[in-house]
Amino acid sequence: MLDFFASSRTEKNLDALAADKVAINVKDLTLHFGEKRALHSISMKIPKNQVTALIGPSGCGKSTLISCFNRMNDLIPGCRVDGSVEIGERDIYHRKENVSVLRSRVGMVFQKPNPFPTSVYENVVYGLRIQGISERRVLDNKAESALRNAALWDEVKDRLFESALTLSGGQQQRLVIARAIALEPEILLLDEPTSALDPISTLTIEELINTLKDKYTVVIVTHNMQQAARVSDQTAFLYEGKLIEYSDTNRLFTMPREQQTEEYITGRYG
Amino acid sequence: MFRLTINQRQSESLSVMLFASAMAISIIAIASLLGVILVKGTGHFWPTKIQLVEMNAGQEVKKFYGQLVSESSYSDRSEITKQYRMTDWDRLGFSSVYIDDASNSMEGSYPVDVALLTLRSGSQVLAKPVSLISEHKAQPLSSFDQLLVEVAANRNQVEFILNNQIASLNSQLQTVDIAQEETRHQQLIDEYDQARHKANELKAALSSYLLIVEDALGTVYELPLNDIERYDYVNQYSLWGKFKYSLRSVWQFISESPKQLYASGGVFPAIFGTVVMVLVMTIFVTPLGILVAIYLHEYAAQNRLTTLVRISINNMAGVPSIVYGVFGLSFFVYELGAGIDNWFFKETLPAPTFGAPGLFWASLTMAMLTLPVVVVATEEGLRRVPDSLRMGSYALGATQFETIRKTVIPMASPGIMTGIILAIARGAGEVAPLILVGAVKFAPTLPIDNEYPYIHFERQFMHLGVTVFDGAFQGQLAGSGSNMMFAACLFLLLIVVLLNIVAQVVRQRLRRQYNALLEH
Ligand SMILES: Nc1ncnc2c1ncn2[C@@H]1O[C@H](COP(=O)(O)OP(=O)(O)O)[C@@H](O)[C@H]1O
Ligand SMILES: [Mg+2]
Repeated sequence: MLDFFASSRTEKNLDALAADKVAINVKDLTLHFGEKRALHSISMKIPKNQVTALIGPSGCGKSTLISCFNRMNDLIPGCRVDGSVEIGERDIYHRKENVSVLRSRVGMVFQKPNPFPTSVYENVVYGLRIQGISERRVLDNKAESALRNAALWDEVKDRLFESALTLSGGQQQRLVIARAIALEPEILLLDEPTSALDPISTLTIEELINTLKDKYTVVIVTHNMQQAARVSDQTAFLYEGKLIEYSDTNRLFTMPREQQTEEYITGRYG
Repeated sequence: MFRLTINQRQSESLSVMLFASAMAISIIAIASLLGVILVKGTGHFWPTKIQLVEMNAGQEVKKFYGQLVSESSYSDRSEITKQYRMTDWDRLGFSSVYIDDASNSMEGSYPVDVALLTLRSGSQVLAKPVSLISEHKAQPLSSFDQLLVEVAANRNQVEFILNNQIASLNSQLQTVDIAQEETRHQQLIDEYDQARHKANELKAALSSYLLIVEDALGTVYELPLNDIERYDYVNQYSLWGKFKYSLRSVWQFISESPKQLYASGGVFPAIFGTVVMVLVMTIFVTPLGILVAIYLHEYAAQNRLTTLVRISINNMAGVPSIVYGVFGLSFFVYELGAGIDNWFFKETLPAPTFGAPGLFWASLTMAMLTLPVVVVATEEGLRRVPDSLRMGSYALGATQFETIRKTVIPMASPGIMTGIILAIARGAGEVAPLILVGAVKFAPTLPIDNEYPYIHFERQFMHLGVTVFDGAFQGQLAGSGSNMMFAACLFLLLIVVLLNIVAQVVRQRLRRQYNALLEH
């Protein structure tokens, strides 16, 4: 009870966040797949070095929204985006934006682990090689620190040159995270990173997420409300493409402002 | 009700029998195909025993040494016709004898002292060696091997003198200024005369080595040892001896040029031509096919137009190959080739350079013919690369081209390999279009040699498939009753089967790799 009041008092106003504390500034974002509108004028500010969770029933547009932050939606034919997404005070939907550079600054991890069928090492240095880094020592150092940061180093340090496909599912997912943070991105997007994993691997990844926010801004999509409550600082609830409520995680789960949020978190649908 | 069940069961077992017999017929067809090619093909290399054949021809009794080529019986006649090959002493080669009345010929014996003599010209002679003569002295038959070695050494020496010493002296003589260096000129002329003299002496000595042989009627002939390549007492051979003989024949077959219009020698130029043509074809078709497939699968919008293109490419695989031949001849050779000649080889016209069938056009035609194979297999390989990997690559900042180069192509490479191997198998086995665009029965030169520019794209070439095709029209038979056609056919079959097995293995590996990817 005391705890609740404490957090309530220190609750930050997410709309009034100072510009230098904002990692992603979404302004009036509307997205269409062909004729179908998937996101309805969404505006939100995602703070730096914190974990922001996106929750909502499946099909509500969580993946679509998170994919707007590194423009993965560009690959879908018939996808149209209006409004703007600002990262570092630049609109990433500006026509002069270099999408490849953007994606190396905004890493993304998908629902199912998708390591390349090459060695553990080659997976981690893939993005570095794309950037033209070929010096062995640089690659080795970056690979090691990425694997350490992804809490995977101790498990794979003796099998760096074995196929990544020999790792377990949880290890593969951490490898994919390592591969993204090897590029030292500003933001890490995680789209249901644990939904294909067992509980123990899930726990490891959640602990990892906690340590990641020191260095990175993390946006995580999850359909698991306990997970959102455990790992995130603020939570956005999406419903049918609309941002229904976005506030401090404690607040959202204990004192939701909106009727729909309450119905969702109390399990009346979803 | 019960009756109906029985009827059903009857018709059920009837249809099972229908399927089973169709299956059996196919198996028999395939087995007999392989059997005939295998037996006839290997028969080409296996030594046939030499018979002393006696036959009544009117009053006189005819005798000859012969090798049984074939036995055939005709339904309207009761007797068996036997075909032998025997020595034609007038031209030192084989001719065929048919003996169709079994009663006329007596069952022959197999004399152990008769040998199959293979001459350097490629001809073969069946005769009984009697004695040897070297330097006008008779030698025992036991020195046969040793004398053959001696003769070969002498022959090499003569060839060395003619090809190296005399040739080099000749060129030196041409550059010497007679007025300026009179002594040197004289010296060279002396050396030249000496070499010539030496060569002539050796040649004379060579022709004094003789083998005396006897035919079945006791007539005696002399054969210069210099003309003899080897001798085989095939009737004395054990199983191992026959096996060694066969191995030698196989080696000869793949390493020598055809002799006596394919009656003997080997098919080396045809194998060589096939390999070169297929290589050049692969160089054309591989990049083109891969690029087309990547464009279709990775870049092009998936709409009706791409579907149409895909269907057309698939249908190209079904176009009769002769159509490609006709296209190659009329477009590549007569249009493009003539154009090239007009632009670049004007000085040699009207003799065509590229305006005639040749290696380049044949390879290009075959590349067109095999393009669908490569495209289809490559697309199949691309389809097996999961989209999640493409996404993973994009999410790490790779462009589409980098993603294709670094992830998609390596993962699709087993599929690409399969396509290339299937294309090679197709290219090696095709005949009809090749005859129109450059493959010939006999080409005097190889498409690659040590003459500038080393690879001669405009030359005509020999091809295994064409050799097989041509073999069907020649009557010349080897000792075993199987002509070269079957042996060449066996080789072709082996090559193609081998390539298909490799393709199969590669495809299997791809599948396993892909499954490992899906497991987790
Ligand atoms: N590639 C696509 N083409 C058309 N519609 C899509 C596509 N991807 C998603 N959608 C639609 O957009 C909506 C949001 O989907 P998504 O963002 O994947 O939901 P989720 O919240 O489960 O991640 C859904 O109604 C879905 O049907
Ligand atoms: Mg989703």
